[in-house]
Amino acid sequence: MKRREHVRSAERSAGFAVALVSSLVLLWGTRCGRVEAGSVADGLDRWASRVTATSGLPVRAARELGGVVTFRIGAMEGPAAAVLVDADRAVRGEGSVGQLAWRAARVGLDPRRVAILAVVIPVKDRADARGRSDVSARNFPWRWEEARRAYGAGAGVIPCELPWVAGVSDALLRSPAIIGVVDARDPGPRGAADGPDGPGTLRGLVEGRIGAPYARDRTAEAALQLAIDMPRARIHGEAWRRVGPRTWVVDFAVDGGEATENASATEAQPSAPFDLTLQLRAVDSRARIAAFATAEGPGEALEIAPLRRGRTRVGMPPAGAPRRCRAVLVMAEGARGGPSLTVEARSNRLVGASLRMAPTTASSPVFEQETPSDRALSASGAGTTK
Amino acid sequence: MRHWYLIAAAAALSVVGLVRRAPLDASERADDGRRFRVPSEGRYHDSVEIEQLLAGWAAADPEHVTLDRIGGGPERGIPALVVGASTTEREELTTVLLAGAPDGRSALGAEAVLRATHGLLERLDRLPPGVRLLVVPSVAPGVLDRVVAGARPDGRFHEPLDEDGDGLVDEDGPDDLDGDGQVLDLLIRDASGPWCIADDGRTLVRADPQDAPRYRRCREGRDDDGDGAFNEDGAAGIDLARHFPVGWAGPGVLEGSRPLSTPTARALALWIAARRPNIALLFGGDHGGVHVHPATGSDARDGALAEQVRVDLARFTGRRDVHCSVGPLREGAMGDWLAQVLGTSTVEIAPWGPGVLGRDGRPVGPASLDAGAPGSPSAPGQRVAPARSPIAMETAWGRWLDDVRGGVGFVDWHPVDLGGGVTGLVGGWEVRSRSNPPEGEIGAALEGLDRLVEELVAGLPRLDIGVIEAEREGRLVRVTVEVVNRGQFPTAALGGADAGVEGASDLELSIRAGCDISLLAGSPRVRITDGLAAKGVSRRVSWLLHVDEGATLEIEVTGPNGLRAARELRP
Repeated sequence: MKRREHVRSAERSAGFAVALVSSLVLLWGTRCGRVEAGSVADGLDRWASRVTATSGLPVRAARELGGVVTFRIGAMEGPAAAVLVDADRAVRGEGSVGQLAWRAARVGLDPRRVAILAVVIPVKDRADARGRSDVSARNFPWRWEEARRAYGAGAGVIPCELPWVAGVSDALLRSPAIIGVVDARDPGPRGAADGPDGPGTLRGLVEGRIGAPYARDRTAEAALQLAIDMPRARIHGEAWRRVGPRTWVVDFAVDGGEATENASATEAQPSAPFDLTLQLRAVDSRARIAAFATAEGPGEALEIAPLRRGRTRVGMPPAGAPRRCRAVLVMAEGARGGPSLTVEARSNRLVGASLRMAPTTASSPVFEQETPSDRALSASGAGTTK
Repeated sequence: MRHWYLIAAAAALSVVGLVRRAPLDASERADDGRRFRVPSEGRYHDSVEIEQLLAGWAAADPEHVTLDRIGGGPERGIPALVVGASTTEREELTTVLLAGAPDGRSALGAEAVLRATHGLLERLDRLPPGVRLLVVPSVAPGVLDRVVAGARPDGRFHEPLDEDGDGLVDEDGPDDLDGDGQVLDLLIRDASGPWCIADDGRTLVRADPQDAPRYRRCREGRDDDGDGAFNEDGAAGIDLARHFPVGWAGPGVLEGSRPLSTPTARALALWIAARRPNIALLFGGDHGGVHVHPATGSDARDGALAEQVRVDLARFTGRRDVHCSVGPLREGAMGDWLAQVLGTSTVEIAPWGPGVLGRDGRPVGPASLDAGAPGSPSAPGQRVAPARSPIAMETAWGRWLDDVRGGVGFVDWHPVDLGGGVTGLVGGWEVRSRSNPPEGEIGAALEGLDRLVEELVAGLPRLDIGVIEAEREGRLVRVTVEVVNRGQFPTAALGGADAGVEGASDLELSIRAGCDISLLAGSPRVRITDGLAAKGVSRRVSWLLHVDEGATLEIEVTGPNGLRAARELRP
């Protein structure tokens, strides 16, 4: 009897031991999975943190299709100069991306308004794809049907058939504004990277679809220069008048392009018409914006334009001619003093600008331009980024 | 019972698994002795039920049926089935794609594919050798689920988008303004609007410059964000029907930032491209007939294919005056990509249309609804129209509504107050009327489509070599043969990588001579130009040979896209 009890007790103990071990194995497995899953994300974030630590600039990393990784350095919104680099160049130490960010910080790139989008492409995948089929050169989603007709299987069965082509295309197309692309990749054994131009090429996608200049330059220094020379919007306060006991009229002008010291006017200003979004805000709640009007040219009449939640969109000519604007502000009943107005100009082709306007006296309004000016690259003595 | 806790855990997991499964319909659960479960009648299947059905079919015959999942990730992927020949030698396969709802709208298209596949599985032994079926009941399961749940079919992947660029996402979607339980169309008067209402008071037609009043059209709803535009930023996204690369009209909200930018659609395209279907039967559309997507340089093939399918559709479904057209369907359509890039012979068969069901539940034909109307869908003597005429189709649907439904199924345009002194007109087709029939009519609408598919698959071009004579005089042998197409389709109808290439439809007949056989007269390779018609027979080809006693002659015929037959002869 005792023996039976002893056996039962031993069985029970063994059972619990098995349960304990199973649970531990289960927990360990789950934990491993979690650590494994976390480490992938941590790797990218750690890389981004390292670039931030090196440069002091904000950096956001993202994964795209086909092993493509992007690093957005500087402003998280608004226009960006893009640079395409090979992964083997980027992963050595902190690599090109880190150096690029470090140099951007050294030349005083304003991280609030200017960004560089570094697109890191896995070279191995690209080489494999080339080895299997000669698809890559004409597989980009720009006039792909033409490419298909002209090059047949060389253009792929769908645009972006190769995952890395999809990754690069998505990174460029999804970014709110690419003001230029510098292709700093290794040209590879064929001598030229992905075809010169024409249907289905990366260059075609950049120039034809995104409407930005494309350059091949292995130094990647050009991307930095592109960011430095990025055209920027300007807002000019012109006049501030009181036209009634509670009504004020503010005249200002916006234009689309200020050439920096290094860039010629044609480089700095967008080459095609573009939209500028203006956000108008009465600075305190005692005032409201009653109307907004704008004129297309210097001699044109001011026409009332729709203002939704203080936001309006104005079409800008490419040549940089200023556009006249007028805002009408009304003070609340019984309010004393004058209103003040903030205007922000944003575009996917320009570095944004903002201007705060307040009439300290009716005759001497204050116009406070908030656009910073970056130092020129040449003045910084920055070297090459290889 | 030592490991009672492990058994308990397993039981608990099983219970969880069972609970997670959607309940099956009684007819699907029923063990009626059939090997493959029958899709339930009288209702639409959602994507979970479709996957369960396919999984059940694959489990019932794992040797011939394989369940696949296209894509994956957060969108769960697209369930698909591969049926038939499992050889990896692609050249020896004739691959047929059956796909439902290629525009994301036709829930009935998905049902048609399920029924047709079930029919084929039940008679798997009759599937021609070397034929492989790719079955994708719904090319966009998430989009289909909303249609099945009763939403208005829009074919769109719903993604959070800021369509009006105001920094907010999906803040101005559709609303039921008139409280009738449906969200239909809204017309807002606009002097430069693109639409005006036709004389029937119902149909919208493109406005000419002199037309008035004119309207712009959007979904029924208020201006929720007060920006002056109505329902311009609701839950919506890329339209599957405009998302493929041929004729792509993007970039845009409906078309995507690039063709096939949606991971699921991209995965689907690559899955199909890797398997290179020769023929694609797409079940969708609301014309009730046949539409052939043209491949480059294959006009004759496409015309013949359209006519063959039109005749068969009429024969098996009893439909009259079947609409039939050839041409690119719309910008970015899946079928146009299949035909033009992969060279697949691509036919869209619409399970639903204005002439599919009459008042007595039997087909009436759009032409009889719309007798004498100019530009009717299929005027006598002009069976194959160059392209679909939207006006004619609108007219046919209008007649169907009046003659068959007594006007039920369309909400007449009626005024609603939009606030701020603005008045709009609300109306349009109800959810279960034009795009998809009510559930009670599913069975009748699909009647005969399974037999049509069976016939089309059985009728695929199939070569055979007929021996007319093989006479021996000593070692001298005279052989005369002819090539026969045993299929219902011309050999040129088989699409594939060779489609559109000059001379690609030719057949080549060859005889192999060896050490104990020498060719005395006749060419070892004979070209039969332009292939063979349905059930067609080639000209006779003769050879004079010197053949040792007991030697075997090998005769082979090869055609485009893997067509092949061989015969051994011992004269």
